[in-house]
Amino acid sequence: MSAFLLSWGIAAICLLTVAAAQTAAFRWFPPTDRFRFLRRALGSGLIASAVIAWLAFPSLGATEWPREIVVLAALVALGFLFLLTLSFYTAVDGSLRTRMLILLDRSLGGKGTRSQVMEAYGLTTLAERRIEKMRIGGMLEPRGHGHVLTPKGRAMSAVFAGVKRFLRLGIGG
Amino acid sequence: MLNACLVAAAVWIVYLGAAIAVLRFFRPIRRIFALRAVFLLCAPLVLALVDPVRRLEADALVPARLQFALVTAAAFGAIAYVYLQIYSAIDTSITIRILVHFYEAGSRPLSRAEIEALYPFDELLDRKMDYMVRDGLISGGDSLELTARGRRVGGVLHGVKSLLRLGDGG
Repeated sequence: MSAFLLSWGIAAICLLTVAAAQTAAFRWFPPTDRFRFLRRALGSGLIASAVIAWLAFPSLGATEWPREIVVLAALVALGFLFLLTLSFYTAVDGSLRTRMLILLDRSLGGKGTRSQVMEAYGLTTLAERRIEKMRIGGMLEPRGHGHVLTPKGRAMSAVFAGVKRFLRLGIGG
Repeated sequence: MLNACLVAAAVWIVYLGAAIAVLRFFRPIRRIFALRAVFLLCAPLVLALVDPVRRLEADALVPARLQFALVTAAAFGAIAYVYLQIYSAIDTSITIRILVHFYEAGSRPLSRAEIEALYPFDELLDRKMDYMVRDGLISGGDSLELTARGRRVGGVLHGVKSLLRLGDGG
C-alpha cells in the first residue's frame, strides 16, 4: 500500500465530507441559521481531522515528521478545503453575473435589452438583500429610519477600510 | 524537517511580499494577471531550491519526484488561491463597499435610499454586462442575446442554485 496514495485518499474523503456538509447547510438551513451550522461543522471537522490524523499517523509512513506536525498539517488542510468549497457556494449565491445569466435565460427567453435586464433584476433588491445579510450576521442594527454598525461590524469594516487604503484599491465594489 | 519548515516560511514571505507589491503598484486591471505571473514564477523557484528526492521516503507506487511535484503544486496553489480570494473579495465585494459606507458615516444611521444614492447600482450592472459580452457569455450592444456558452454556463449555475435552494441571489 502506498502511504502517499493513502494520505491523498484521506484528503479526497475530507473534501467530499466538507462539500457535503456545506451543501446540507445551504440546502436545508434558512439563511439565519446557515452560518451558525457552518461554524459548528467547521469546528467538528477540525476536531475529527485532528483525531483521524493522530490515529492514522502510524500508517502514513511519515517517520521523518513528528506526529504533532502531521496533525497541524491536517488542520490547515481542512481549513483550506472549507474555504475552497465555501467560496464556491458564496460566489454562486452572491454573483450578479450568475443572476443576470439566469434571468436572461429563464425570464427573458435568452434575449433582451439592457434596460429589460435591469428592470427584471430589480435594482432595489441589491442593497436590500445585502443590508439584510449584514443584519443577520450581526454587523448592522436598525436605528431610526436606517441602520448603524454594531461594534462587531465597526471592527470588521475598519479592517476592510484599512486594507483598501493600504492596497490603494479605491472604493471598489 | 526544520529545512522544510524554513523553506515553507520563506515561500510564504516571498509570495506575500510580491502579492502586496503587485496590489499596491499595478493598475487594477493588471493586478490579477500580475498575481498569476508571480505564482507561476515562484512555483518553479521552489522546485529548484529544494532537493525533493532525498527528503522523501521511497514509495512503491508513486515516485518521490512526482510526490514532491504534487504536494508543492497543491500547497502553492492553496496559498495563491487564498490570496486571490481575499484580494478579490475586498476589492470587488458589494457588501464590503456598503460596510465601508456605514463605517464612514460613523454613528449617523444610513437608510437604504442613501446607500443607493452613494452606490450607482445601474452603472454596476451595466459594467457587469460589458464583462459578460467580453467573456463571450452574451453578445450584442444594447440588445443582448445569450451565446451557446452563456446558455450552458447559465444552465449549470441554475442547477446549482436549485440544488442548494439559494433563491434568486445576486
